[in-house]
Amino acid sequence: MDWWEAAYLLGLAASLAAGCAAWRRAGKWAWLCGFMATAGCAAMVVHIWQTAGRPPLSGAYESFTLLCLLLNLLAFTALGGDNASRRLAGLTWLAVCLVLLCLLIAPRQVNPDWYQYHYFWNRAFFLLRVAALGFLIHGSLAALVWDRSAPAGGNLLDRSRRFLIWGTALFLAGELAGFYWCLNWLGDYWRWNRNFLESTLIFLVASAALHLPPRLAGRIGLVRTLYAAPGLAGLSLWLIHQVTG
Amino acid sequence: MNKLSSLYLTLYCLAGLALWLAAGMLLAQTQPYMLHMKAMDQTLLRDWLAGPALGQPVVLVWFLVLCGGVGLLALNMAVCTWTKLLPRLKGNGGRLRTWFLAGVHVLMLLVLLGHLSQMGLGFKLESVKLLPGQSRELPDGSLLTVTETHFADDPALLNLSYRQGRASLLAGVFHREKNTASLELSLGGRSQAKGVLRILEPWEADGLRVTLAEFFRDDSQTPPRVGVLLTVARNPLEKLFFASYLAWILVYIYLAATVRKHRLNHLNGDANHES
Repeated sequence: MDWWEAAYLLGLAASLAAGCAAWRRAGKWAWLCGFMATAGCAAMVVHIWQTAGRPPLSGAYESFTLLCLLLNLLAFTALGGDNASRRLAGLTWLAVCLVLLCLLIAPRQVNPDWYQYHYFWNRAFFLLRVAALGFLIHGSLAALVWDRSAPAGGNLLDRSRRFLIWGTALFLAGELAGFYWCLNWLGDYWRWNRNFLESTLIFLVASAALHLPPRLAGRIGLVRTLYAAPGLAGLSLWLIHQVTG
Repeated sequence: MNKLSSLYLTLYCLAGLALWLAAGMLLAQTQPYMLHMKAMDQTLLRDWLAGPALGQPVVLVWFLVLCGGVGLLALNMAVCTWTKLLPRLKGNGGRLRTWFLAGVHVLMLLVLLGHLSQMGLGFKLESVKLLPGQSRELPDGSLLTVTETHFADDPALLNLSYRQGRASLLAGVFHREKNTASLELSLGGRSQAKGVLRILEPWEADGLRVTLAEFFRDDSQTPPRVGVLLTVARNPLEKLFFASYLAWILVYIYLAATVRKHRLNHLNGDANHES
């Protein structure tokens, strides 16, 4: 077995173990398994970098790997601080496990090194897109989880909102990089195709969550649903995108 | 005025537009609508509306409804900024966040204005296919000529589909910097400007932007010749769009960094009640 395949299996198993440990509030085990899951994903990123001579960018294997590394790190941030929640950390690690599971069916191979991957704005677009997705997914999970041991009394909406806004800012930065790449390549920053419409859709869903009228903002169930929507919509569309090409 | 600036209207517009874009995504993957939507990329939308759109009623209706939704959202944003956000500046003049909150909406309006200009101002010609020595007359009367092309790599790499290109035009095989096209812009027989073009390095002259999308191989002659596929466009507000977009993101980042905790306190209270 190649070492990166072993790293993949380590990431998969350790993220599942970390998720279960954190959910059951077994703190030390969560840290240990979380560290192993992060090490597994980091090793996969190193493998991609070694093979292609560039960071992971596009395609299922590369983008899933980078996303999982980011989600691992975000899970650790949920273990401490003002809005600490082991359940949120656990759920984030379970999300890592779910994304890594998709790589059981998707080919685990590095994309051919297309010359455009060496263009700065192309890289900025792909990297910012994955970063934004990571923040939006973590924000979604924070809205969905209910943890009575969390300092805010079970409610992590404050954290969810912060990640939603950061995720949207990163998403817009990625869009700008993508627009500039498209302008310099095809002569226009906008195309009437699925990719551009999909990006706009994700931005609109995130914007809707941030524009709740005061009356609706008091309905906790609705707020949690709307805060969870951008990350879940982004993840679903992204998975569909990877599967259908 | 109250209804026009309402957050309910904002929410309905955003939700409606999201659903409409989802419908657009389905159209963009279904024939023949996929081709009709590709036709929207070929020229300015102003020119598409005046010509090809009339023969593509489904995509035309989808596009017009989309424009209506975006227009209503823009109106809602403008009225809300004018009647709610700007008056707040008087009361909270010293608070940077209040200024930035108004700023993010004004900048979004500028971004939308930039998008509108991209649909109707100047001109755009896409997929202009030229071999060395061939010319194309532009809508402003000037003449664009490809004087020479230089393709250093294997011509077998050309005439591939997008997917084939992504698998074949690899960094070690296709040398972007070495493959060039020389251009000349003239008006009434007089040369106005000359330049060299590469993929991802457009040529700009007097507000005109020429972009080299790809090279192609013309096999009708022996030996085959290499030509270029160009996009020629003039949009006077393009820089405004990018500047507004960048400023918009910077303000967004400021708002993200200073997001207030106490806004959610009432939600936490409600949640505690529920529990």
